[in-house]
Amino acid sequence: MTQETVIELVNVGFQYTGSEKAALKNISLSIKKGEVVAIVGHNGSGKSTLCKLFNALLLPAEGIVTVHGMDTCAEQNTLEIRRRVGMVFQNPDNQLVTTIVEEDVGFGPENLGVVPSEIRSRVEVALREVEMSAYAEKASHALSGGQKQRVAIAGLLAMQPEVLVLDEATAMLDPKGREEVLSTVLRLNRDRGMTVVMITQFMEEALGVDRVFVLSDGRLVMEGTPQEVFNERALLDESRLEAPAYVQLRDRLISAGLPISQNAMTCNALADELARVLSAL
Amino acid sequence: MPILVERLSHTYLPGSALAYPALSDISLAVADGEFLGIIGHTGSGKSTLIQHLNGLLLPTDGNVLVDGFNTREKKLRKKIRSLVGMVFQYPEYQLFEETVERDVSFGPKNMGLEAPEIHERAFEALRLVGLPPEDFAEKSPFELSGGEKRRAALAGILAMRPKYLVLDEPMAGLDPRGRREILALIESLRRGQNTGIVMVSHSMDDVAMYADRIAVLDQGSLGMLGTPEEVFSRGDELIRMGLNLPQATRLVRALRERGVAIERDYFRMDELSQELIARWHHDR
Amino acid sequence: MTANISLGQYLPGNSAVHRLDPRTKILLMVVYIVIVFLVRTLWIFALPVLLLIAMFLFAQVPASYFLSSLKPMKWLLVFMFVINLFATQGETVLFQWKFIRLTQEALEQAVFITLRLVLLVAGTSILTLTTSPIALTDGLEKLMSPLRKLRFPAHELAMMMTIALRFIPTLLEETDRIQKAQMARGADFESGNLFQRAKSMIPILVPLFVSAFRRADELAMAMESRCYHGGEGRTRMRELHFHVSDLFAALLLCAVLAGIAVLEKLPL
Repeated sequence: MTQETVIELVNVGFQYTGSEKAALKNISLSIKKGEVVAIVGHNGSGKSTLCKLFNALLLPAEGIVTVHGMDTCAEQNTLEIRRRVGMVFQNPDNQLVTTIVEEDVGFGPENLGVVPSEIRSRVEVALREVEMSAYAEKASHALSGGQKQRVAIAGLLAMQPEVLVLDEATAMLDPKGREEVLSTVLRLNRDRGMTVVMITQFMEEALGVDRVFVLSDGRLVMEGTPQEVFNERALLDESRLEAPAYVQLRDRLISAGLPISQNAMTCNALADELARVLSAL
Repeated sequence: MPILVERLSHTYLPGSALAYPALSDISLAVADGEFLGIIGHTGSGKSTLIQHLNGLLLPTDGNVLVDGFNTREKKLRKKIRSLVGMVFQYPEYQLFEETVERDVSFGPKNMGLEAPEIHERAFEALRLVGLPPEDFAEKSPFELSGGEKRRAALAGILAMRPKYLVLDEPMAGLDPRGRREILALIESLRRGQNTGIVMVSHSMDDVAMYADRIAVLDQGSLGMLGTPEEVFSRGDELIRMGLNLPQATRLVRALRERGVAIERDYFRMDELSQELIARWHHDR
Repeated sequence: MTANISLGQYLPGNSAVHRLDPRTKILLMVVYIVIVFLVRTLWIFALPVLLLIAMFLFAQVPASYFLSSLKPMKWLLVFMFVINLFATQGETVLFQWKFIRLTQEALEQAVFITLRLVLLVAGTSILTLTTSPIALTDGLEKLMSPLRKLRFPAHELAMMMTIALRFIPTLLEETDRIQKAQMARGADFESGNLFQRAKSMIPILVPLFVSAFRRADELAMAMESRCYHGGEGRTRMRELHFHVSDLFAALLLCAVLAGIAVLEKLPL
């Protein structure tokens, strides 16, 4: 992994007009190229506001947000920043613009003024990347939630972005749809080196990422690997969050005296540990 | 008296070229105070089934009886809808009144109750869902937070004092604590008022934790019906139906694959952890 | 089921008419309407009727679609026929019973008006049957684009149409869902007088509006995220090209137009 910084926030604060409370307070963080990071936090913790700062949908009231060194507050950068930082939103029904799948995927490149023949080929490639080529000429309305979100991702890929930001993009999906979307973005990270930022309420989704940021009441309260973060049980509790079920089970077993590793966080890792401990005796 | 579903079949747009059979030959019962979980992957017919329980949809074949009242009878429909409270997915999108109290009163008003009783029921329901009426009754439902809106919408159903409560994915979109709060509320309704609960959920863990019995829908048919233990011991079949298993069950299966013999099919984390701890002490 | 609604009447296909440029089709539809209105003699209607049959054949649209395009208009057609039948003054009495009087002039007028209406409706439905809504909005946008110099919002109108088409099925589904949710709370949308029924719609309309605004908000955000910034500098994936067939179609219709104009002038 290179250490090039893609998104950087320095002492950022934000307040919605008409609101008495600041939505975000003094946030500093940086996201490196090729990383997968998760931002977790309770309802209303400010995580959605935070990610809208990443592509100049919102502009910071205090501090600076830069994408590849470009200040999001400078208007001449806006389009380039939005091209580079693609965003998938929560409601699959409210982000597809046109009726037909391939037309929708072409929407971004059309806005960028790409020549028609090139748009056509980008759309084909993008749909193949998300495994939706068979639906190119179908009406988007009839698709499942997971398929709609994959079309939304294809629409971003057609703009050739560097970062995909998923703003709770799996929250309204069933487990199958959630799995489809997650495996798609993780594959893009693995094969294309795509930087991925996932905002999520499902702690399980944060297990496989490189780094986790925890937001609570507009503040960044923790940052670290999933292991580091999910071991801070008291802090998680204060942030109205809870560790994934297997992590909770592991901790219960450890405190009962079972000699299993602190690193086991998933079903398989925990089973490996338990098989070692239980059959070794 | 229970809700009885007898040999229910439902076809959308019957007789047309677009006819689409959504449910076929479903029979089940929901007893007073029972918690029935309904699972099945998207498109298996869960929403179609629950909309039959209060007569929003009528069977193409078969019957649905609520406390002996047949949902086919138009005159009984109002009665049936006050007996069976229905909480749709994202119920906060049905809020429409100027104040929370007026919104919660909509159901009781439609039942034709007198003003003092409506008021009393609205306040009681708001207290039940954890929105103290002193603070919330006069607020606009549109200025509440996401979780509060959800609870206000739930209060709107509870104010009808339903004997049965049907919920479609009531925790969707909430954070972990919000999910836990709603689940605790549902469980307390059952314990406190003996409300029969029918809950559709994608979360196997939640269903495993609270349901007395589970109905598994698979392509419009009743694939399984039984206690969580009975249902989740048939893991391979569930996986074939495109469903997940509770996390505890998954761990048990992973352990067995690694040669650790675990006899019972656990589906609750707390029970599994006790077993593992006891096992370890015993081995030692 | 609602998936069909978003495509409107469009009947996917690859006929000669389907392949015409949407701009050609829109312009020729205007010519066709002019043709239908030019006809003032009953027997000359034979020409547009033949034209209509030819269009249906070239478009490979089953005849049943001809009937279904008229279906929503059936009462209007009957009404127009009856009104003209009895309201038109005439001298050659065909039938009289008490004060009811039927004249040949009136009969001709009624047939004439009804036929004109049928031709208009069936002919224009060829356009919507063979052109996808998106091609239609593209064509309209292109045709209107010279008006942009006069500050006419051609792109914005086309984008509004695109979005409206996209959201019609979504909002229909939502209406159904809200209606069911309120019915579950005992709402009654079926009984009472007109005023009471109108009032009973409030529990549906308020949530529907709230949700439509929320959707509009989120869609605007998603569009901005995808670099939408108006029509300026925007390209289109689907390019519109005129082909030889467009020329032929134009020539055919113009010939019919000229023929009718001449026939109507001749003292026959």
